[in-house]
Amino acid sequence: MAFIRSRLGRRPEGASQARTAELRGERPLYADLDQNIRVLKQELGNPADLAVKEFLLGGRRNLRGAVLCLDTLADETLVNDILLTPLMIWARQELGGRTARGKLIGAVRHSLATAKKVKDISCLDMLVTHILRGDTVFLADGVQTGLVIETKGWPARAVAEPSTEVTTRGPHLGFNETIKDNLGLVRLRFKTPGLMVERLFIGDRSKTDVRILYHKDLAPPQLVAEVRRRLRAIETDVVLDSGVIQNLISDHRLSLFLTTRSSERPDSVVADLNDGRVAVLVDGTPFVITMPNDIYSFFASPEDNYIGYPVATLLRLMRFQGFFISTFATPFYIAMVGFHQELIPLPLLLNIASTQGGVPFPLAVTAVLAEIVVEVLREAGVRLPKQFGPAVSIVGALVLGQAAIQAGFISPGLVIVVTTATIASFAVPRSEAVISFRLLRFPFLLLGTVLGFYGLALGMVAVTYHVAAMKSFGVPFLSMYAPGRVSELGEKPVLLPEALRRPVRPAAYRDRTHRGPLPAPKDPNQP
Amino acid sequence: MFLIIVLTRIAVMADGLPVVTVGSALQDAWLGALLATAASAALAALAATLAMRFPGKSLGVFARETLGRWLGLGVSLAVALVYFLLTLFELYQLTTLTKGTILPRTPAWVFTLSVLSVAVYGAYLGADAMGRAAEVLITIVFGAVVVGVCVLVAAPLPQSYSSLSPVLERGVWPVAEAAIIPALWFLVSGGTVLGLGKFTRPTQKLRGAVVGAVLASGMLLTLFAVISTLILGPSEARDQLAPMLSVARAINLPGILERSDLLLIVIWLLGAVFETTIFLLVAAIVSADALGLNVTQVVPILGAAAALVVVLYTPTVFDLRRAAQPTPTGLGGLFALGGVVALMLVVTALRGAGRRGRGGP
Repeated sequence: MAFIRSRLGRRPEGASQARTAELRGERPLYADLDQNIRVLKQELGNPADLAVKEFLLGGRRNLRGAVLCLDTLADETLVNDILLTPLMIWARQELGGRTARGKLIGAVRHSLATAKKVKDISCLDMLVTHILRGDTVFLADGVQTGLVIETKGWPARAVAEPSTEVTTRGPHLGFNETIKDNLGLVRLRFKTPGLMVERLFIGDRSKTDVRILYHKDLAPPQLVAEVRRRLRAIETDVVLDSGVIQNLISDHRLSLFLTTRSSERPDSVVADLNDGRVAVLVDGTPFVITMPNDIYSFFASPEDNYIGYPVATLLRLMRFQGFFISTFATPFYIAMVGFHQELIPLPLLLNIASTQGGVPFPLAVTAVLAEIVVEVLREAGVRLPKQFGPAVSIVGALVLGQAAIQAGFISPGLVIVVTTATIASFAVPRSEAVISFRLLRFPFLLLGTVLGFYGLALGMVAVTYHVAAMKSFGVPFLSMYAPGRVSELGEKPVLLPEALRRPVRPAAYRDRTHRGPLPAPKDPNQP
Repeated sequence: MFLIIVLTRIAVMADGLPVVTVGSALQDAWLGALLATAASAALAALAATLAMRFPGKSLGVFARETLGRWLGLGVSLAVALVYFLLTLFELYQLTTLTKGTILPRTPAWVFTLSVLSVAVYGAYLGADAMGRAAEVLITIVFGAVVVGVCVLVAAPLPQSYSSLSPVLERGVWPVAEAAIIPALWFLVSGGTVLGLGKFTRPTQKLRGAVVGAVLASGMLLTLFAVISTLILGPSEARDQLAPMLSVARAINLPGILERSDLLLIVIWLLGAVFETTIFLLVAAIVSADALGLNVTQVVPILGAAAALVVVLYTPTVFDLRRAAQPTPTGLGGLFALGGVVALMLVVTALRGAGRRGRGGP
């Protein structure tokens, strides 16, 4: 009697999970395979790239099964090797004639599917989501649970040299557009169990895969929590690049100075993680965001750590000079010539006057036009194909500059100043900072034109106020300098040898529990 | 706090140099500077002592606690008014000197309103931001001072060390007279400590920072007094509106720099704009705390009031100077500030003694 009751009252495998899904307000899978396939097709809009393969699994009742995936996102070889071959060829042998429905999913998961990542899903909506991510779904007739097998595989760019952060020393390896590869590149250089990786999906429609990376002992917990909070609060349809996220989580969205940084170099990201920062990897982009950011990151290059300290320090100082020249050279020249001629040595003044005399436009107008032309040339050089870009930029600058001087449109002095400022801006290693500094030049140009040095000084104070008030995820943007400690100046403005600087984490980033010096490096020969 | 105070002293030292221009100390102006430094260090230490009695609070809060609701409110608003007038005076100084030395054809209101806008923006950002800004600005100022001294050493200047002697030829009084105004100006720095109450956390060595800042800027004042007396001569230095500017104009590096007053103008402008911001911020903090308002609400109101005064009384607003001789804000105002500090100290000490007598904490 008990046997008959148990046979009659037996529920399909996964019924309890399906019931749980139902209680959570999710749509459970049906026990009928055909109905499941029909609903999934309907949900996905029956797309042309949806591959559905039905087959017989064997077993006592000759069970039916099916595999579903999008052949544009799933790796076909992988699906064949780890799923279809085992299920269609080995299943009969493995399942034998005794495997009942009740144990089918477990048997497939443990004995047949040879994939690394396999999990049970009993919710219809989750199955749709997984199929859209490139995973493959296995369903069986009479079973209310499916298996999701990770088979993502689509055409991707190979790992290559980063295009925006070129260095002469150090690794020449950059991220690509695949989040898995990028995470691997980070792990390769940061082999510590302390590296935490959290996953979330952002974008109502794009469902972009995003990973939060941090070292559990180095990143302050409140910083990690804040990053997590801001990422979860994002409400947007599509995330096509990390720049979208960068704009949405930054503290000062209207400021020219970015409060998060992005890099396409694994060594740079690992250095940031080791400093206690948090990194955010976004699928589909080679640019990894790290935070918090400070103003020194604009002037720091990864290769500073790979070359000698005196040279690195000099290079950093030169980059600072590059910033000042690019921002202030033209406004300073305009202010000097326009308002404070008495400060210029007489021979130089006469020289400037003789060359400026024939120019029909006021100096300020010529300067603004020259700056705009240089910016247009630079932008055109970036957009043009690689074969033509540099040539057009150089020829354009040389020919246009020479012709403009000969035609008397512009004075040679101004051409020298404007081109020097433009070249100096490229001494700043971060491309995003270069754009900010170039834009900063225009308000100063206006102030120098209207109010001379007075205007420049006033503008300088206003910008200082603005930057001093900025914070990046609760950390002052001027951190390490203002507020700063003398002992830490060897870290950022200059770069002292390890023996001369205190080996501490940046004050603003470190957690209370990690204020002491870093532990001595372990012997690499020891496990 | 150290840097805020040093930076707020820079402008006065760079342009007015009262130790030279006020009184008749002449060749003994440097002695007056030393005396002023010592006196002002003592005054600033008193103000810091008072501030440390009430850590984390501004004068607007602890005046009410100490003197009672209405008297505390009155005292707070009086101090806020002094700082508001100091803001107006700084605007006046900036406008006068900029118009007189750099841009003579530009209307005065352009300078006044532009500086006021930046000051309102800075005060609106708050004390923390200003503390960090001071660290950046002081670097620029320090760099300019170093370059200035190098230029001074390199430039062929008529220097006569005999112009510094004989010492105390006219007696002690001219030296003391020359020291009064700078000493009172330094009291303003002490008052700044009372306004920026949030910096007075118990863990900070506030008194050391304040006294250190006053001593450091006092040394700079002495150096400036010596330089201007050496290069211009005692009598000519006293007759100049801005002795250091005249010195800078006299310096010439042939073929490189026709005149080096640019360096001084940069130092002075940065310092003066920052000083204006801090005065406005102190006025806002003290009045906001006294009235129970938010500082960010009060700053725009004070800024608008200052702009209104400037716009409505453009021709006569700067008569504040004449109305308050011998110093623009009036010795009365500075003495009032000193009086408040003294009164508060006495009351605090008495109440502390009373509490101790009653066995209180």
